[in-house]
Amino acid sequence: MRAILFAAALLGLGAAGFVRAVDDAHLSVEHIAGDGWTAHDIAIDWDLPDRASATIGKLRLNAIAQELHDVRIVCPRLELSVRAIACERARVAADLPGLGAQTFTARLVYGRGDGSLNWRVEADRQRASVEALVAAAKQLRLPVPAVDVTGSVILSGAAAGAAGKVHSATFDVEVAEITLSNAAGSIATDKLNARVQGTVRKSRGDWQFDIDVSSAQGQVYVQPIFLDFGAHAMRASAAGKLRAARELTLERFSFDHSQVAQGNGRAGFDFANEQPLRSLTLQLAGIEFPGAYESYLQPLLLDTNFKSMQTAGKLAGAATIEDGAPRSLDLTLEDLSLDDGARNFAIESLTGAVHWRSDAAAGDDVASALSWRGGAIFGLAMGATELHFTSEGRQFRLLQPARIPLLDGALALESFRVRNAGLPSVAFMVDATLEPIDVKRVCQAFGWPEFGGRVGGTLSKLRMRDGVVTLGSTLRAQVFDGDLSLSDLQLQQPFGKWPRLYSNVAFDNLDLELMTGAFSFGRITGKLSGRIDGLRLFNWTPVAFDARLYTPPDDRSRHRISQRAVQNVGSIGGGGAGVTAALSSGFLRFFDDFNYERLGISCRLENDVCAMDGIAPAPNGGYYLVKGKGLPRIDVIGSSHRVDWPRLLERVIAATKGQGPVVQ
Amino acid sequence: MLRHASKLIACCLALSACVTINVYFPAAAAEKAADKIIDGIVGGAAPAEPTKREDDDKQQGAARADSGPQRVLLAAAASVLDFIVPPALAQGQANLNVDTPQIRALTQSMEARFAQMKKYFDSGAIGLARDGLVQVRDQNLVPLPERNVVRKLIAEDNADRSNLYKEMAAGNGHPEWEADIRTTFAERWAARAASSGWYYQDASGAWTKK
Repeated sequence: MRAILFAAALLGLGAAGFVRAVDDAHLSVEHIAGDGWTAHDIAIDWDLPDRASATIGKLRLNAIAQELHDVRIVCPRLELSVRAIACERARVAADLPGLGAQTFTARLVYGRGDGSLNWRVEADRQRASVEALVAAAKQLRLPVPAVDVTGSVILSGAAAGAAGKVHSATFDVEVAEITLSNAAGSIATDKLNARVQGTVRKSRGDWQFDIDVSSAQGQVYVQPIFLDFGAHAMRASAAGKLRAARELTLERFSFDHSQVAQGNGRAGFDFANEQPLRSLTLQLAGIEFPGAYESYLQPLLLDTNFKSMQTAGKLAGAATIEDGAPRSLDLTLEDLSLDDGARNFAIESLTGAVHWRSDAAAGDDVASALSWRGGAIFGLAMGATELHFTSEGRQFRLLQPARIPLLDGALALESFRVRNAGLPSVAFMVDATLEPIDVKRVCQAFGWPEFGGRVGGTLSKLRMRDGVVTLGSTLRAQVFDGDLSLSDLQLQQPFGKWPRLYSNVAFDNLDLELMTGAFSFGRITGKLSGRIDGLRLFNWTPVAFDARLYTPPDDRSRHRISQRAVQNVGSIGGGGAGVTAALSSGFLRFFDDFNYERLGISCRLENDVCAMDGIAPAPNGGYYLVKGKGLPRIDVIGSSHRVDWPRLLERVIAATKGQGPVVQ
Repeated sequence: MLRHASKLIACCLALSACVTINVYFPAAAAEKAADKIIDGIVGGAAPAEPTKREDDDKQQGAARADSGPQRVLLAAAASVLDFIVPPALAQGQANLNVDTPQIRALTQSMEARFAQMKKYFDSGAIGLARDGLVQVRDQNLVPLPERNVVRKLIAEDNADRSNLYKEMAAGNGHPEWEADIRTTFAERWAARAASSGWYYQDASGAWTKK
């Protein structure tokens, strides 16, 4: 509605016509309306020449949902001109929705020509509760998130606008003891104290802002990030503009999370887009561990196997995003150490520079180099190494051969490529040689019974799919003067809490004398061959296999077995007491060892039960474990066909600990 | 000739019927096994309400087969085959073995973790979901610094739970039982939750507390 300048005309008449005739005037106006506002029941008291006060019975501002009642305006000095009626320092008292009775100083300008009502209000350490502000914000039809919140606010600043709309504001807000939470609990604060300073200004439909926030007290949780500003203070600032409530441009931003991370850059958001972060230029400096890991990385890694790492060191870097897609990442690592605490994965003093590009632009140097001083993988100690590589898009390529010391051997990487990283179709292409490693140390690492020898071989056709690593080539080991091969190696959830390994193992012509010596099992001479099919380890412990070990048919070596070995073999076959009794009585006790023709055992392990057999069936349903030869002839015959595996292991371990078998 | 062929087809049908019957999921045994494992994890808490489906084992030959005439046919085929191959069928009805090294390792790990999780079950912050896993029910009941601790405990526990269902199925020679085992555990955990005053999801996914 077009403004009807009834009151203004009267006032103007008053100013022109009643010069000095009266000292004061009273006016009652039923209704005035202007651009975005209407007022009813207005009473004006005018102390001539320039002091005036007005009471507005009902004031409706289009921007405020609820109408205001009994707004009192006292003006110590009214300025009248042809174009406007203005008051520089008016005291305005109003019962604001949500905030209750409020008094503030304002500059008011009423346009006589167009009925516009321009204002500027100031607040000086105005106190309010957050609950009241939220209610007020709802009245102002501002988008208020659905949160439960308590706390208090001290507001200083100034705002200017027309009718019910704000055009610009300068503010310095101290919030205290802010505790809020949304219904899902994904956003929350606890006793947060912060200071927010800044300016906002509207220009041609855009909101320009420059805001600075600092906090040194309270906690914030924005799932999955938890920050305790009491422990590490935060200061952040940003300047930019918001266009059409959906395009946000941060022309500059910076943050300083004390002893955790510092960064600055530019960013652009488009909230209408599925991926709102459209562009980013970020410089990161002084990222310190473990603070940065605990604050920012750990929460993002909760679903991975890197969720409980001990970290130390420093990181700096830069990242860019263009058109909503990551373009580049440059990281400089300085003495970064990671340790999962279980020795499954640990790396010590990781140093170097990593450069990743979404695609290699011409002339862009994207070679990366990383070195580390030591570490561990699957419990195997790893030595110092330097890696030179490129990473581009979803590809990774080793630029030059690298040698990673592993225990007393090494993994020599000729080439290493990764394709489709991060996709289900991820593929590794590895060409590597495992330089012989002391088997004893591998056994130590996995907590197995220790024995000597060396393991080595070529690693090729290493693949990973759906978290399962498979090795297409065969690993070979030289143990006890014989050959051992591991084929069809498959590793599931390698870095998980429950790694599972599958393999088929074959061995050929192991020297039993070396082997029994290593296990202090009692001396046996001769050779041993066999296979372990379907070997399954769960958490590095055997849970299933089908094993057959036997004297190779073409073995021409000397076959002798000692008294103690006979007892131990007997105890494995379940005939411990009988064997011991037989050996310790009669003339057999005068012999240290005996000749044998052949020996062997088979054990199919499933559900903790070993289905056991020997080299041939023996009378009375037993089986031959050792078939004797010559005189005195001794046969060891097993009787149990189903042996409890944990008890069997105990017996074998007891036997190899140098004591005799447990006789019950 | 045609008659021979039809006999052959009938035999094949009977044999395939036999296979179907043979792999019936032993629901009652699984419930008992789940209760035993849950007892172990919760650590001697009050036993859950007695299972109402004790006669399930007897019924399952027919109960899980399709209804109508086919069901009669299958039952008949089963009884004939019972006569011919009793040991195989007996094996099909065997109890679920829950005493493998894998299951022991997993339940021990869950038992150790339960000591840390119990207070969150008690407060209602977390609950037992209908998919046999643990979920956050009301994060606002957890102090801010502990929220990620809870999320981590849940991630670890759910990894153990999924591994447990997988290992129980595989350990009994029937990897295809994994989904049934998971469902059974979800039901038994819900029963345990009901008797312990914890939240659990009902069939529609709504959180409930007894």
